[in-house]
Amino acid sequence: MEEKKVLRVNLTKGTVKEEPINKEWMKQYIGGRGYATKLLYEELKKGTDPLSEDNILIFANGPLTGSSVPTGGRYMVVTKSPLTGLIASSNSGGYWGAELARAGYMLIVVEGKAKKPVYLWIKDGKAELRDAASLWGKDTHQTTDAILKELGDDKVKVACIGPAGEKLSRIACIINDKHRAAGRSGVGAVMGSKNLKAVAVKGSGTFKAANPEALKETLRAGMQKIKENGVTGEGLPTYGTAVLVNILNQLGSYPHRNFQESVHDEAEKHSGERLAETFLTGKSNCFACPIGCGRVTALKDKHGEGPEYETLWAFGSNCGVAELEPIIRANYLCNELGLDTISAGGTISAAMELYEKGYIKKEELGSGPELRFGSEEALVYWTEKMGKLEGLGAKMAQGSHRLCESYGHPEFSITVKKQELPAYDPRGIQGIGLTFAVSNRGACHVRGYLISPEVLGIPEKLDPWATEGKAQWAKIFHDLTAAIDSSGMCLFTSFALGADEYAEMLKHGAGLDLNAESLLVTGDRIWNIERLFNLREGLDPAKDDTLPTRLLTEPIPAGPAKGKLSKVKDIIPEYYKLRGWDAKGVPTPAKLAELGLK
Amino acid sequence: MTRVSFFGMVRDIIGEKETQIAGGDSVKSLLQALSERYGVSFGEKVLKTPERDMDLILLLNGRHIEHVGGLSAPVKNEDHLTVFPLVGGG
Repeated sequence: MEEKKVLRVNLTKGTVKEEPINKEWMKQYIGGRGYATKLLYEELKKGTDPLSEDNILIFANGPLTGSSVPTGGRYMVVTKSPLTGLIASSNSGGYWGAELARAGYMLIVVEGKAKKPVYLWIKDGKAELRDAASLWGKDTHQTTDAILKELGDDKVKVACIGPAGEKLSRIACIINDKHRAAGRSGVGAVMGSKNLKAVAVKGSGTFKAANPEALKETLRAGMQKIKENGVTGEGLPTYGTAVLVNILNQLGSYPHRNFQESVHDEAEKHSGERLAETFLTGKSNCFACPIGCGRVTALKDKHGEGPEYETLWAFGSNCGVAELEPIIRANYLCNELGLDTISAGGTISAAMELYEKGYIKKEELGSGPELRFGSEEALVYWTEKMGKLEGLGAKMAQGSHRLCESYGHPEFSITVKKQELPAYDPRGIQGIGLTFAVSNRGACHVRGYLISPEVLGIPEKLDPWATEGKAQWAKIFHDLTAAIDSSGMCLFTSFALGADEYAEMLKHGAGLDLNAESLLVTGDRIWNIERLFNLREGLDPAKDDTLPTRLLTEPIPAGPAKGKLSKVKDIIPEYYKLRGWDAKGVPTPAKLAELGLK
Repeated sequence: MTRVSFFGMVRDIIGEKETQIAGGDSVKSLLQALSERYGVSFGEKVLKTPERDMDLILLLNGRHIEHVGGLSAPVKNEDHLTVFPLVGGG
């Protein structure tokens, strides 16, 4: 396999230098999420302010990023989160990661802070910092276009921040290829705090497999499974993720009005089916992806990609908005200004509840529309204000936890570890609630997508209302996902592929001696080092591994899941035990020794 | 009459969003009644075989049929069956 390198960038000194990949770390952590977390754990000083120049920002490919394995184009951004104060670990697709691999690098480690705005330009093993003064203030689309123009090459791939990241919104994301986001936990603000506007890459290298013949056979079998699978071969290509809107709503676990309810009577109006009939103009694929879940859409005055299911819910049902047009507009604004759509929607819905209950006063809105559930005008207006950190929007741009605390009502912030919940009601789907509660990066559905067995019936149907067995399922999903995120492949392949296939691809593609069992042990190790990082940064499991009070004490008021509450507190002790943690949620010395984490 | 709603590709195949149908006292007999009404398009393209429900997500009053008795789950007049193709996302 072609030897990839680590590019270490010190913005304070203005230096760039190459380092070899640590082979031992690759064996232990694969790459991507795992390798980057190990690096952060070793190098970041305890208690570092996430927005100070001492924080470290890591862009990390997996060893299969840029290869021909199906969906082999993913990269991760790992840093200390300004939203949660814990590990940030955001995954993105598109073409940027594969281009970085072609340019010869697996990781970029960014340290320090530039005196003035800069961007990093990497081309085939050479890197330089360039002046970005003229880019500061531009949105992500303008920035991308300006860089392509400056470099005179429209094939360059750009990852950048918008005004939200520049102005240090704690829910700012990093956008690559204009439409794909390393979305969660405020990674865009860390980039902004370093005065790093963008990373542009171009490469001409090719992927060299450890065992090309064996990889070819593994790929053939894997591709066939993806094509024949109902979800990856038909469901996702045809409707994208948006088709989930109606399913979750019919289940009565589709949070509405900041989780005050869990059925939205008008959900059909922003469903995937309706999107296909109205604003959808095409589909898009990420690098080497045979699935193609991306949606290309257009309004009268602009076009773009998305919204995905999560965004349809966050700006739709959760804000009480039914129609697609304002949701699409808010989605475009987030991509352009560089905001995470899940946290943005969760924050607007919390602000709507604060306003309707009289805590945000009318005079605080300036000339803006009233923050009322269902207001299309408010949704679009306040999304823009958040993305630009203007007026009340500046306060909202710090996320719902800080917003609600500032009004003395933290109970309206539907967050775990200060990060907003995704689009599933844990009161009606118990297992996903466990994932939200224990996820190392705060509330997150893609650390272990229990929706697959609990709602979709893959690989087998579990009762979403039951708690039995969920801890075991969660642990396996968490470990497998950590390994997939470290490989450079997309989590969506796991609808069709299992641990055996991932291990084979890593073995023949990257030369890592893995089988299904050792792959899951590797995932376990990654989950545990994330946990150790969090504990070092002050995580208090008793207080932090839980769900918002509303979901534990206010039953779903109506619909098929009427009366349900989350029973996550009953499941957590079993989960800790299965993990080899003590009753307080701390990895035991024996567990750490077993994983080589002493 | 039982209310039946269709989603995703199922909706495209049979060309309707919702219908009322009689003649089913179980999910299985309801699906058979739907096959008779919609003919080839429902029976072959949606159900594939009468026993095969794994390519569909069938909810009876918002509960997956797996948790209320499977294909033999009893169905009453006021019940609501929703028929989804197997889809996914995140």
